[in-house]
Amino acid sequence: MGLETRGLDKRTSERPDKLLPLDGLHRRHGAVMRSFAGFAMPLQYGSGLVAECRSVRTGVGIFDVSHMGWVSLYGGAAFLSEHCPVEIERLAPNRMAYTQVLNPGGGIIDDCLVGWDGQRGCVDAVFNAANVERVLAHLGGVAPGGVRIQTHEGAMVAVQGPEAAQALAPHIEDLESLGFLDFADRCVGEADVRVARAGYTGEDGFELAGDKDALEGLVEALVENGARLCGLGARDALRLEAGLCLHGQDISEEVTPVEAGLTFSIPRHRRHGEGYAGAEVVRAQLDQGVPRSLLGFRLEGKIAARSGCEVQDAGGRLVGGVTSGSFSPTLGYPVGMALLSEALEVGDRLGCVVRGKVLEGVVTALPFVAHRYHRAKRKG
Amino acid sequence: MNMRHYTKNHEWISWDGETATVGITDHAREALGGIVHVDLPQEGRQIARDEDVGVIESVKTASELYAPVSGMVTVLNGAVLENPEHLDDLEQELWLFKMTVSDEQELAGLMDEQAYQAFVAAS
Repeated sequence: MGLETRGLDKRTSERPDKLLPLDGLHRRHGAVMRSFAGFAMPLQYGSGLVAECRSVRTGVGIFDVSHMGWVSLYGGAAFLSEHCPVEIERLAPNRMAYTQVLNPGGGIIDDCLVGWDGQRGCVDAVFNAANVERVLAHLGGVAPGGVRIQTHEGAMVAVQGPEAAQALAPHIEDLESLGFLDFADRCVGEADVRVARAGYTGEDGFELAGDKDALEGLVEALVENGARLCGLGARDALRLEAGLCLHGQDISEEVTPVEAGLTFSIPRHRRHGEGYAGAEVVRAQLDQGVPRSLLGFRLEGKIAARSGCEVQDAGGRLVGGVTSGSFSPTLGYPVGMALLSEALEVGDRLGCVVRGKVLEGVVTALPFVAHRYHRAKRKG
Repeated sequence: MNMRHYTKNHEWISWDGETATVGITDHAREALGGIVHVDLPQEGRQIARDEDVGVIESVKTASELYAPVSGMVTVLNGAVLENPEHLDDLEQELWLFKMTVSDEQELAGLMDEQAYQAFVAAS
């Protein structure tokens, strides 16, 4: 079988992989490791990807996301707002927002969560592992004097699923005051840990960043109580089910947030405004429409159309290409996202060309699996 | 017990002198994660060594299946075609189809168990 050609076990570069802070934990728990973005990462554990996805949808799953690039910018809120559609200064303290770092053409250099840390007086951002060097080089190259960028070491884990809050409650105080996209510093054992109610699965959950030993102890305690360790394979299937883009596949420097269906993440006053890189392109695309858009689709049968497959309309004409595709363990059928010409809408038939055969499907609204984020009850 | 031979593509073949049984190794099955569909060559088809003869579709990947030796396909594992999702829980190693062997010498060119385990450990 073509295991090797699919890159499952292969290193992507000659540089030896960096080890995650929790590398020993993964190996103790029987992880199959794979090279990803320069790190040796757990692809899946012994119980397998399907069981891992099920745990996140029905219980608790834990992901090591220490490879992600967590940075703090001091004196850089106004500066960063010139490169993202989100205006950082308008965020309430300890609130995060999903946004993108754009190039002048509106293309997405990376997507990220940003938050305003009122106590430290800095903007925190979490970038994709594969992009953090590129983003920091881009921002560093245009940053005015006085902006200081600090990168964080340590571990980061995501605890995800409908029972995540319940599982963490014995270990971390006052989680109930955090709603989706809120963050705060909390104690885990003796250590201060950054706790954000966020994730990449569509479920309620938390991302915890900080001291390696404290987080390793916490993960072991959670696993002891029935939480399941989950690898990159489950993470990718879950984010696709939740309709969440992956940079480098669904979005890139060639794709704008409007084309990618991310207009929801652009504050209203900036959709037709200016003041950030790519604003003119965003405005023009919102006014005049886009030549192509990122849409969801599902297929009949069991075979998925993977990234790179051609997509045809009902008449057999080439209308785009698949950017992400997977069998959905939760739904039991293949789903995917594709960049398609604007003529296609939800409900339209399409075909994906897989190994010379056309697989029939239909354009489907995103997300495939509904989000179940925790909305905090707010005063007023 | 018949000796098992292994390919670098993670197939195994076991030959009793008349009929050979072909499957994929546990290492491959575990690496795939969540098999959802299997395509096998038709019964009666002549297949050549290293020819692409089928596909194993899992949640995350589609992996081609290659013929370990040349011969004719005689029997397919129907249970695999009907209920591929049960393959992850299978206790024994997974067999996919049976075939005749045209040239015994081709078997000698494959790895034995020990060589395959060393190959997996090094990859």
